[in-house]
Amino acid sequence: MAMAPLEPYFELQNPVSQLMTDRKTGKMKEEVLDEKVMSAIIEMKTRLEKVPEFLRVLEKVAKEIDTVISVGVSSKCLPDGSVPHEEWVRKAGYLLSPNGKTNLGMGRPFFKED
Amino acid sequence: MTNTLHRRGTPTSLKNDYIIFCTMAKGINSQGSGPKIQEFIRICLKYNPVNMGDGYMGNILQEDVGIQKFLSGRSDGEGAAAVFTDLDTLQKVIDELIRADLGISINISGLLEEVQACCRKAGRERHSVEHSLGVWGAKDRLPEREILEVNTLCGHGMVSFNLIRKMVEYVKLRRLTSQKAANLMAKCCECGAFNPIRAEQLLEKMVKRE
Repeated sequence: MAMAPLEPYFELQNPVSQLMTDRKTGKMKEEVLDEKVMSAIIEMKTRLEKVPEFLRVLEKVAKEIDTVISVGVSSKCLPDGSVPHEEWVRKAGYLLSPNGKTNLGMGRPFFKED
Repeated sequence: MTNTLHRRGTPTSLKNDYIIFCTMAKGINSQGSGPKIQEFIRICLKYNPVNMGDGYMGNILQEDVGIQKFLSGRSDGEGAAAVFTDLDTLQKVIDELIRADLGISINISGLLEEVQACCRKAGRERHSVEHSLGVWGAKDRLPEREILEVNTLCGHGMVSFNLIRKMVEYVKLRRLTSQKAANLMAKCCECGAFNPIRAEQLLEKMVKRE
């Protein structure tokens, strides 16, 4: 819910999103609040220019909780193969891993933006 | 998918660790995808992956799975992952998958620049990239770096910290070879992303250091 002011878009197909009562604020269902899980993946979509702000809020939240968060950022490459989020993450002062995941773009049908 | 995103290690250590996946999108291209997944597996098998599997069935190093059962048991919507330990082989797999043009999503986990070079050699520019920004929060609750390097080979955390410590002890006491210990740990990983060759090298490094 700390992210709510940044207006994240919580991925609908994500199991954690399914446990929210309000996907605008990220409020979870009361009955799951005391449950313990091995892992829970929260997926949020935002605009590139908002990435630094998201990371700053996440860093603040990470200091307030008694567990760990593995953080990942992804974006669609430009036609030359460069990665748009790299510049935003570096400018914000965070380190990017040398390894990661690469999508070859071979799935069909292709995604069409609205 | 993030199960291989947070693999740890120096760039040198990560040089022998590449996982290639096929993934379907439910309701988009999942229906009728079974034969395509089987073809993906056949192509990967030609190049001797050190592990293969997926979360539905387990991995080929488990006694109750094996290669044939894994291949024949694939049905619509079930993905598959294959682990390779060198770039030349990965290049051949990518080349053949591009030629096969199965119409299913292919992802590769590994050193990003090297994977990009492979894609370009195959005449393809990468579509999208995901980076890890590391682990944040109560890191004091995590074990030492060397244990995490092995543990993150199974991104679902199925190889426990204590099992890794026990395997280090067993190798040190010569109750197990590092190869047997690595294969034993690999059996715990349900999705097949665990790299037993890299695990063996990491175990040997830990044993020498202690």
